Amino acid sequence: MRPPDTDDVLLERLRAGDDDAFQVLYRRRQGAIYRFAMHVTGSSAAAEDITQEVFLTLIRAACRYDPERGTLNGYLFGIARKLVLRHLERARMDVALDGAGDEGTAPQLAIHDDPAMAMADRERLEALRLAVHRLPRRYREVVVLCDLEEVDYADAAAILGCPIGTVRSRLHRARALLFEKLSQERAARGEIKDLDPARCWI
Amino acid sequence: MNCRQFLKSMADPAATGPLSGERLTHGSECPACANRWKMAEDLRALAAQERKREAPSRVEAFLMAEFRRRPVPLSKPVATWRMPALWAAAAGLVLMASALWQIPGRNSRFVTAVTGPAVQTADVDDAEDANGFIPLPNAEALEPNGDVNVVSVEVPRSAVVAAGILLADDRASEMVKADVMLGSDGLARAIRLAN
Repeated sequence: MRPPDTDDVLLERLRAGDDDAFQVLYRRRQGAIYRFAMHVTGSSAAAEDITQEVFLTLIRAACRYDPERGTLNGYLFGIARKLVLRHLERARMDVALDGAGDEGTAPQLAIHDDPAMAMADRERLEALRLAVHRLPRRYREVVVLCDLEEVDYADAAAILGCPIGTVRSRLHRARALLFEKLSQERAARGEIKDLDPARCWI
Repeated sequence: MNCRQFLKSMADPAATGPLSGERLTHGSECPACANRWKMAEDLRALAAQERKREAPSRVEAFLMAEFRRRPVPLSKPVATWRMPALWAAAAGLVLMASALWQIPGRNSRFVTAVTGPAVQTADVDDAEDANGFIPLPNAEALEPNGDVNVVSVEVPRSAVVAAGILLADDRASEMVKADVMLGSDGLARAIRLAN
């Protein structure tokens, strides 16, 4: 069986006007872009717009992508991130004008189509999803990229425009914040005793 | 195993599934580490669950239509080795433009642009041609039968002096009307005073 074309091969075909190549590339990459946008903005409508805009940019300016500067996946995430930041900035200004408070909107409910998943597990994952959404943006995006989308650190660094060391430190800090939030929630519900974080933050 | 070693062991990509071995021993003594392990597991579970989430199919339909509607096959990027040459050409254009309008405080006003007839070469040493155009210093010669554009402008008298035309400079700030002849490459070649 013939191995699937790489992104770069598909991009060459796309540049030559092959719409099958565009479709394959879109189906391969859209999910991650959509989820990244949704998790960071907290809005599926914004994620849909951003995904559409990312691939429109690819259609209109595929020639701008330079394979020597990174992967196509990283390039697409980079465009998505710019659009996400623009969306958040606009949302922040709208919120300021409306006089309301929180950053972004409430995240969409999880997909729960696994009947085998216990209610407790679902609740725990939902709590985790909410905790991710409530992280400050710089930590949220690194968790979404590295933990949820499994983007490697080098690509994440290119997407976020920072050194790999910064990605590692942000991820470490993000997980610590997540852990702290979840522990506080569980302690509040009486599930666990108050933890002594000092012991585990050596 | 202490907490530091436990955390370090969590970075191992193979460290998934239920706690076992030394990790289990440490986890049973340290609820914080055990919970940290659980959270890492939950993140993996959340990632797996989220992978089912995709953009709605209408986005693909819209993009496919857009792709088919675009006019021509997408062009390839300019080869890297050509970029310095393009930048040099752009810099040359800027220098030529600034050579013509280099007078401080210039405030030339663009009036109109017309296409003029082809003219013969405008050499630096040539005298004024039959149309009254005076070649600009250091301007390249025009190609015989090449297209030219004539642009009417208003410039300070001092700018005209800088272009090599002798005028009394006691009224240097006054504006004069002039026609500037541009070659097919858009660079100024000759100038003519309208009056």
